[in-house]
Parts: sequence; structure tokens; C-alpha cells
Amino acid sequence: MDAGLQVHLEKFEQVPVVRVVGEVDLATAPELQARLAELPADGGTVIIDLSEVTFLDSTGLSVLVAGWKRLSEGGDKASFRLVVNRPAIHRVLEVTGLTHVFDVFATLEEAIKG
Amino acid sequence: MTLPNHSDEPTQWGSITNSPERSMALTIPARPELWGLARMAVASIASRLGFDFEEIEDLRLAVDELSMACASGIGPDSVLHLNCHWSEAGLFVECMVIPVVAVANGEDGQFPAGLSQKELSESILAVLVDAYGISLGEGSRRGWLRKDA
Repeated sequence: MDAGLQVHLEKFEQVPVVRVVGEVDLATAPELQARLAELPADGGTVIIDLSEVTFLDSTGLSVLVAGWKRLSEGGDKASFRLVVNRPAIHRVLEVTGLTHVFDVFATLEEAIKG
Repeated sequence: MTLPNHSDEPTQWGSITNSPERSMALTIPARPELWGLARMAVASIASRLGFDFEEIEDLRLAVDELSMACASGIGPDSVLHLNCHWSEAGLFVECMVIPVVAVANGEDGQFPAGLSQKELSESILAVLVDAYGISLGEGSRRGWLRKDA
């Protein structure tokens, strides 16, 4: 039943990009958590591309927040830029107040520009 | 099958309690990798009831959060029962879990406001549906939600 989750670590103009594909729920969130743990905790900018995510629940949000906190441990606060183009994903970020924590962009290009 | 009794439950739900044409029961192992079945079932019903795309997406997420709230920290052999009832008034979903063996909950307090996973699920549910309730007992865990048409 698991729709599966793919997490790709890429770089776009020297900025780390975590491209997430599929459904992020309690069953698949550990995969995202593990890949985010591979990023260096240097407080830099990371783009989380959720444009191919079809479902995101509270466990996925918790993983994003935990990853952001870990990357901020180095001193400077890490900047997570989220790419979101699906209204349902944007909505869950809004209702949990995370649009005030993360910068949200409609496209990867916009996220790169900041 | 009996409909859950709750003060927020609209009276018209009572008349459809025993209508097999307006109810659906799904019993699955309470394992997260299978909750997609619950999401799919509720989305399918909601679509037939005429809910729009955004409302169906809300229901998918709400059912997932309800399942998580009820099944968080339970043993792998537990079973999740999902009962759906509907009428022109909307959709009522009940989730019941009989825990076999309780295990430790996952990480809590990850959220900026220090919310636990259950609190986070409840804050999402409060926005997505018209009414909901969660009761976590030692012998059984029950949650329900109502989405008006």
C-alpha cells in the first residue's frame, strides 16, 4: 500500500537541494529524516523541493522542523526554503504556522533566487 | 454497527446508522504503511458525495491524522477499524484501535511551539473538519471526525 518516497540530494548553483517525491507520512518520514541527516550542520541555505510531494502529514512536518533545527545547531540559523506548488501541501504548512518559519516558493528557480 | 454518540453528532446521522448503502467499514492492521488505504477509501466516498478537490484533500489529511492520533505508540499486531457513515448532511468517520501491546511513542516536542505529535495532529484536525474527537484509553482508542456537506 505504501506509495513510496524518493529523496534526492542534489545541488543547484551550489545550493543543496533536497528533492522529495511521493507521499510523506508516518511510514515514509524516516527516509526523509535520514536523508536530511546527511546534510552538514553549517547553518547554510537548503532548498527542500516538495513540488512532487502528493501528501504531507504532521510527521513529515515534524521531520522538516527537526532537520531545520539540526542544521541550525552550528550557530547561524539554517534557512530552509520550501518549494511548494500543491495547494494541499501549502495549506498544511499554513495551518501549522510553518509558513512563518520557512520561506515558501512556488518554483525551484524562485527558491534559488531567494 | 452503531454510530458513535457525541454531542456534536448531528441528529440525522442516527437515521443512517444501519444503512449499508451509506456506510463503509474497513479493518486493517494498524501499520502506517497501510493507512493509505484509509485515506483512499475516505477520499473515494467524499468524491462521490460531491466534496470538491480541496475538501477531499483536507479529508485525506484529516483521516491520516486521526489514524495517527489513535494508533500512535501501539504494538505492530494491533488492528485499526475505520467506519464511515454519510448522508446529505456530510461524512462521519470513526477510527477505533484496540492496542495489542503499547510501545513507546515517537519523538515529541519537535515543533517550534513544543507541541507533541498528538497536539499537532489535533491542531490540524481542528482546521480541516467541522468537528472531531479523540479518546485514548488503555483498552481502546477512538477518534472521530465530521465533515459537513
